[in-house]
Amino acid sequence: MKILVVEDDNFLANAYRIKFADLGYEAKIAADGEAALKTLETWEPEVVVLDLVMPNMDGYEFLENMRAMSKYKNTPVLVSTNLGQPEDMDRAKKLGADNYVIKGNMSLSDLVKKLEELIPKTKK
Amino acid sequence: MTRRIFNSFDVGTGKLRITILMVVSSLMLLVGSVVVYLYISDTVNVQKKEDFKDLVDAQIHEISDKSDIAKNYIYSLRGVLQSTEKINSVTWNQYIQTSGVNERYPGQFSFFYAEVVPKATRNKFESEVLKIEESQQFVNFSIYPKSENAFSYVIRFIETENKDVAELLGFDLGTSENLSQTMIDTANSDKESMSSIVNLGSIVSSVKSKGYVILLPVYSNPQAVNYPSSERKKSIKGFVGAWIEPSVLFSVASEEGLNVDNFSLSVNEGDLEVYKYNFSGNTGSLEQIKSVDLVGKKFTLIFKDTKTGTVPKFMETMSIRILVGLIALNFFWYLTLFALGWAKDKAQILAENTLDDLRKFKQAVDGVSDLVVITDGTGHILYMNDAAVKATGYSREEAIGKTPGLWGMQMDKEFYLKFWKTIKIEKKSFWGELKNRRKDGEFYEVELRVWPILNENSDIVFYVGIERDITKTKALEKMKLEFISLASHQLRTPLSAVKWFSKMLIDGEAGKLTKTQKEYVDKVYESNEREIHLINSLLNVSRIDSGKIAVRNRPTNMRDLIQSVVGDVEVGLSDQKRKIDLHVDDNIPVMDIDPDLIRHAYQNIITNAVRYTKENGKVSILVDVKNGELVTKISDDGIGIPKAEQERIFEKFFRATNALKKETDGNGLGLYLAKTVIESSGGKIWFESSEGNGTTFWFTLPIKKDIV
Repeated sequence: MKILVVEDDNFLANAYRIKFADLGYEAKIAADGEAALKTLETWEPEVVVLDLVMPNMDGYEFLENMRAMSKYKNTPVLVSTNLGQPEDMDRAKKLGADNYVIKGNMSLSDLVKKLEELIPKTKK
Repeated sequence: MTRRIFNSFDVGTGKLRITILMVVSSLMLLVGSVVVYLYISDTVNVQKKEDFKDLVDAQIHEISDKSDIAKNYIYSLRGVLQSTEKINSVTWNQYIQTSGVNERYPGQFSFFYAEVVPKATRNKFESEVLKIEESQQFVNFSIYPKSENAFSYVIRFIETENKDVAELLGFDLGTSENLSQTMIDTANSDKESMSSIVNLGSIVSSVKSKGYVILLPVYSNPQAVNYPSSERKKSIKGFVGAWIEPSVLFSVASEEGLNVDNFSLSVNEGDLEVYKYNFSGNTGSLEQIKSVDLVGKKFTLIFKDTKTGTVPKFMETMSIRILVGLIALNFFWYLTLFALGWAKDKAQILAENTLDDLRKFKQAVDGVSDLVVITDGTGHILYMNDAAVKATGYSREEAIGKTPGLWGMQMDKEFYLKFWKTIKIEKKSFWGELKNRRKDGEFYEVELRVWPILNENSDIVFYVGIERDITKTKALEKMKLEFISLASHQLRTPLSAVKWFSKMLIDGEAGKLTKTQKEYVDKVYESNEREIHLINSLLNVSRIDSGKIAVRNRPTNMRDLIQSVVGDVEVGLSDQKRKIDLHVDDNIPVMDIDPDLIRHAYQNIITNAVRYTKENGKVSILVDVKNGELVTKISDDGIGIPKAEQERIFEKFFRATNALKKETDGNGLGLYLAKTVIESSGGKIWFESSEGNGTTFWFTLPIKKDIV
């Protein structure tokens, strides 16, 4: 499974890397929206794990741009963030996020479960 | 219009009018009182004078009558005496009785006859009289005093009831100078003549009576009256006389309706006072002096009223009574005016105070930071304060008379429909947040409140609108929320890393840990969890405090939710001996609630119950449906809540003292959040507790019928 992780925090990015490597997933890490968009040009993920608060281009903007690309219209996106306000969730979902998790309230294993829940969607 | 509202309390002209009215009416009443008093007292005086005059006239008339009566009787006696040759006491008495004078005027008059006796026949006369009057039991008859005069004028007959006068029998009138002169006068004139006052004491020393004697000559020949004077005088055989005392002659007689008690009289014959009635120094204001000619003699009569007056007492005191009455009337009138003036002053003070209050009020309203706009019932602006002028950018001149649509009308049609429906049809106050547009085109946000002001007929007379510019507040609120949001993100991010890595360690993803290693990592994990929980709670509290607790209802399976919470809590219990009994009624419907919020509520209360129950304690959770509500009962048999602290248990950051001793790591936000969440969802929460015996919490959540 090809996973694009958009995460600016180094520690969390490392955790993702380790976890996905352990699980045998192919994961690429982008430190912000801009870098993630560049990655999308050359590498097509099956699923995206997206942080919202990032420098340069935040998660919302990235999501908007990504959904604007016909190729990624239906690519599942799991928003994984520590922004927990209902407004944030609404906004993200409006822009096309498939699910929304709060990192602080969830172990990485649980997060992977949520992520895996999204996969069958692409297989359709 | 605003000027009219605030100036209508001017009382200046009213004040002047009332003052003039007071002065004029007082003067009129005073003058009126004086006129009435003078008129009445004058009327009384005139009446008094008239009464006095009437009384005086009546007395004069009476006196003349008395002397006329005496005069008439002596004329009739002379007629009898002249026609009779021989007269004795018997016949004399018969004449007197025939005249009836004693019956008509008992005791008032005395009559006598004096016979002319030459000196030479005096003794013979005496004996003849005794002889003739033998049958009359005359014991003695003698002429006295014995004079050397050629003729004596001896009183031969006498008719009197006065003992003093009776002593005159045998008296020689010629021995009295006074009576001699009277005899000469009447003889010369052949008319009755009255003597000066005769003091009987000078004749008979033992007696006191005083009186007047009226004499008339008696002729031996009745024809003698026609003779020339000298011939006539020669035929005089005696004199008939009347005795009348001043008290009879001048007696003061009561007249009908006139009171002689208030009346006094002094009678003077020349300088000599001959009679006095009721006459003392105590005289009143009225006096009348009358000169009266009685039987050829002049008398001066001085009439006076006494101080008590000659008018009836009632009339006398009438003017005083009226005066007192008028004074009282005046007094009451002044009292009334005073009271009116007092009331007016009060009213004026009140009006001035009100005016003053209104001015202050207007100044205050002018100066407040909120926008105040007053419109008439049709929505046309009457007044706007300084803040409104500043905020809208329109001057008063531009805005007054127009509607607030000048800067409004930026909201959708529905908003204004609801607005007008509320204030105009329902006549209730309206509250809302809306966007307006300044004169320069810039938008600003306000919180608006409009009240319709009704008159007594419930017609709308004014609308008062107060707007608060919340543009800044809104911006601030947004910033605050953004800050909270960002802060929570920034705080949770490193904690997330700790959580993930420690969890991976615990789960053995980095190789199996020794028992001690696992124990330590567990501590790291737990501690981190607490930190995350604290931040989550603080985040929620901030949202609640900023009024931003948004309830996002969605159909929720309550059984699943509760079981999930209990499951989570039980995970933390695995190494403990505490137990959770959960009974969820089978009939619980799918509910329209905010699962994220309600989850917090369950979590906080169940966690508390578990945390504070006994070592081997039991927490029981009972969930069922009652009266259209979901009722959750959560009881523990733990430490309980001290009675004194029970009312503070839902306060933010409050922790009971016994809870603090048992567990130091609680944050005091759990029950506060639970209560807020439950109440925001339309439910209620309460508890029963006794220290040492556990606590039971109940809370309800409404079940909406349309969601099944």
